[in-house]
Amino acid sequence: MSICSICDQVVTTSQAPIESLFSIYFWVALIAGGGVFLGFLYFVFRFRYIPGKQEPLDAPKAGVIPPLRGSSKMGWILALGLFLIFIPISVATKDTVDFIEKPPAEDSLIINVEGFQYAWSFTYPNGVQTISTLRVPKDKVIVLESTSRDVFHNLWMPQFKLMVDTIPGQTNVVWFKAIKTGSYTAHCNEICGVGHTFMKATIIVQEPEEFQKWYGGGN
Amino acid sequence: MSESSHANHNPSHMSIWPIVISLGLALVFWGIAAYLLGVGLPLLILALIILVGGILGYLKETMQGNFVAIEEQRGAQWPFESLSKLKLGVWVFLAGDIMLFGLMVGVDIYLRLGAVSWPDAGTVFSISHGALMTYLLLASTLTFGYGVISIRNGSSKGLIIGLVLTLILGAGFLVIKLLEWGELFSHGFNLSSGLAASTYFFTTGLHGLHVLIGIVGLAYFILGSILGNVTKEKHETLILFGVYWIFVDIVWLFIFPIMYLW
Amino acid sequence: MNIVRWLTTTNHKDIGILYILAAFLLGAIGGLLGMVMKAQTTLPELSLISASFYNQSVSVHGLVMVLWFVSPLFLGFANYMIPMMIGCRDLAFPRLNAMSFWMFLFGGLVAASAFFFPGGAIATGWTIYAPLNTPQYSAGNAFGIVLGVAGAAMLIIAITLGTINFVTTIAHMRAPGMTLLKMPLFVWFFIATLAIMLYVFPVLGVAGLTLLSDWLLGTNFYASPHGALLWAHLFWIFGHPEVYVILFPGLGVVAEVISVFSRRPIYGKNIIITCIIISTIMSLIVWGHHMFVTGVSAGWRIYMSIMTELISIPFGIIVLCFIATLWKGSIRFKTPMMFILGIIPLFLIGGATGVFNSSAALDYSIRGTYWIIAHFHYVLVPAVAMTLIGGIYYWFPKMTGRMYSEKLGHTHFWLTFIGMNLTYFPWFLISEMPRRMVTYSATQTTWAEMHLLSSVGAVILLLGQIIFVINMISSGLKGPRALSNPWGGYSLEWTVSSPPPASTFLKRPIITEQGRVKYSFYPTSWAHLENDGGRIESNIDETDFKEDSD
Repeated sequence: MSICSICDQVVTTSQAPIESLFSIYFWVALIAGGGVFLGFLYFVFRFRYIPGKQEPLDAPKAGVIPPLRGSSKMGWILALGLFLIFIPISVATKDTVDFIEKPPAEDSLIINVEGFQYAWSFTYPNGVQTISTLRVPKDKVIVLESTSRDVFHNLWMPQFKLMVDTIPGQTNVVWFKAIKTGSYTAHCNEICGVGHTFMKATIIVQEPEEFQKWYGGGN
Repeated sequence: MSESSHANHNPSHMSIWPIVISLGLALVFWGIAAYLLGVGLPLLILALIILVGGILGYLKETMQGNFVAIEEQRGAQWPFESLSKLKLGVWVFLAGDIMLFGLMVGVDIYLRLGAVSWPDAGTVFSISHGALMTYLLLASTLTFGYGVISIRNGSSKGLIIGLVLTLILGAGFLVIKLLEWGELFSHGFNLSSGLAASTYFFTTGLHGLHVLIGIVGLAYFILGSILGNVTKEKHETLILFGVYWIFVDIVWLFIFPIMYLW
Repeated sequence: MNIVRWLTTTNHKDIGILYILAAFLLGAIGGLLGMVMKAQTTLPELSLISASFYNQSVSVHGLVMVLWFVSPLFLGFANYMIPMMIGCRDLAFPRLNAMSFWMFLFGGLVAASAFFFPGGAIATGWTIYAPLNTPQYSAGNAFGIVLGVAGAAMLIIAITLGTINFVTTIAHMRAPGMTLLKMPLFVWFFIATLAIMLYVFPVLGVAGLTLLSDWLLGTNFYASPHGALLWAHLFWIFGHPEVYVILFPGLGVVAEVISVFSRRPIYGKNIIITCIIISTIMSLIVWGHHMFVTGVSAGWRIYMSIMTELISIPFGIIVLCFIATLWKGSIRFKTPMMFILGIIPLFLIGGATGVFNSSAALDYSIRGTYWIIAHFHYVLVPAVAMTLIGGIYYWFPKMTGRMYSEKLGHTHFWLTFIGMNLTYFPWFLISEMPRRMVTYSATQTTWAEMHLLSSVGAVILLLGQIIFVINMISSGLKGPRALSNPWGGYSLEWTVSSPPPASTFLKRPIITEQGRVKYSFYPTSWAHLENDGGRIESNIDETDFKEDSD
């Protein structure tokens, strides 16, 4: 199971690690949660009141503090058990954070992203600037140095499983490496005013030669 | 919170003041909104009258013992056996106030550490003014203590002298602060003059408001002492107010170095 | 219907009822705004309302539901029940208690009144991020922000007074023999709520006051370079523990109801108390998971990730203890129990998806999307709202002296359960849709399908609540008379009549070592009691004890 409706497409190199991380969380949650749920259903069915069933001996009585029930040993066992479940997912998260954190040590194309009410501007190293369209070559590490001209925005690229808060006064850096050509929609993902819903960008991943033709010869 | 031991003529378990004070405060905000809409000040002034009147009414009701709370005799109170109800209430309130100032100082430090530039110590805020204010507040805790020791020895007069001196010193603090602010404004350094200004005026203003509330409290206790409500046997509320006053002083001891000496 | 009585009362039971009524009024407003948003997003490219009004609805819906619907609901129960549960006759500072309520109510009215001012209500999202929240970028929304924050300031005053009141009451006014460990779990969960409220509302206060200062006094805390992150930190240092503030009382209701209706003592009461304390402390140090993509350092993010995951451990243990309570029980499926049992699987889903959100890596793909909205509605609606509604049913006979209709109650439950799942589950499946979008393109066919399904669920949910209101009103007016202990509960509120007398206990309850209640006499005159804290010795005479009748 994946978390988006078009994930039969693998678009970037980050997709696989994030999808597999999601799977780990998903299966842990399903097995642990599902197990608890089934146990719960069983209890509810098995211990329901049937007419004629005797009232338990320690049933609550008005004005009587109920006796303590259960052992603290059980508490520790549960705590330990849950803790053990969290170790693999914590390790997996840390590994994935490390992967996402730094771009791989290869040739990269650094693009300055600036969000403003209500569009995105992309500035390339050679000075070319585009509004609302981001063209990138396939198979190259793209580094987005992102900021905002006015309020707090967020560039959300769903198909890339990536987003970055664009905050005025600071520059946040994310990277991706696309491995499939196509045209993808990016949205603003932090409410920024009345135009927030319509603040979009199109990301066009092109074959390197096509991109070079566009980039090298100006736009 | 009644210090009075005279008979409660017809104490009630009802009180009009909670809703009056709340309504007053709501009207203050609507009054501000009305003013911003250009409708003028009448609503705001009416609101302030209701609010202040409500607070005074509440205090009067307390002082005259016209309200009765159900008191329970001691039951299970571990681990708070030695704390009275009022003392516990005051300390819980102070815990919240400590959070408030702690956060505020934290905000000041966070902004300062992240700022590109900041005026050097002594260039904008006069260290000598700050030192004088510090001295006045510290002295005011001494005079308050003198008042408490006096009443513990049975001297109501000593208490009144101590409280009046405390009030004068506290008022002196506020006067110097206002003069300082006035001087800064006249040099063009006001609330909109950047981050150093924002943190300075807001933090010292918040603190000054607490001092002002303390001065109102001092007036309340001076009145109470004159009326004979504070005695050698019964002065717990006075002590608790003293805890508040000292807390306000301690907060200043954090603000002074951060705002003036750093 | 004595108006003067209701306006001047300081009695904890009256104030409890006032809070609950206010909760339903304000909850109806919040719910109505939710319905408006749902209607607008049912189909793609609708324009039933403007983008501006949508943003206002989003923001006010969030603020009202979190601050002005759940809080009065649990404060109402706390006011009504806690003094009775610990064996005393009112709160420590009754006038401050009344002031808490009126401050709270008027604060809500001040905030909501912004709808009628130019520019409308606050439109920044309930998170009020900087620098959108500054005069520079929201000049047209001035009244919304100023009045919204002012209303929140009044709420903070109300909560601060309430915290002082309840802490003092629980510390100081328990009946003899009612030790901390003997108190019902509802009180313990509420103590955790109080501790967190004491910590976080001053934080919101600093944030709100500095923001108001930016608007009214011309300072520039939030327009400055670090303003955005400053606000984010302050808001989430408040905002994350706040969600536990609203969660704990509901769990307290679960603890009571699940024990009474399975006819067995709660499993692991001391384990649960330990978990409450641990999770309270942990809740204060996990706020970073709301800021994973803001550009903060990786080390901080990993710490916050791990800590957030770990906080599920105490909550997981609490839920497992609840389920263990059912073991060898004799479960009755009355309406309160239906609600409480119903929320267990839903809370499991909500909590499990929360673990996904705790991962700093996964967050890059789901933060701020419909997955997040689905997650928190799966925690808020079941574990917060449905549990408290279960509490309404549970304590309805006690508060009104009448019994509600079980048939209508069950209908309400099933409509709510089905409606809620149908409304919110589809949102997990559209996790690449951002939040707070007034509409979406017709090319997004999956989004459209899920939203349509969700709207059907919302209608069912609404129907359920209408039935609830009908049940409450008709049963409240002419339901059959209720016994003092219709459910066989154990805590002290079930030992008095339904509804209880004005000062609850006619004789003072005393809890023996073995945990049984006995009664003694209250002193007949007030004159010798000091008002400054009860330093007199107890004058209860052994010969005054009377055995309670079995």
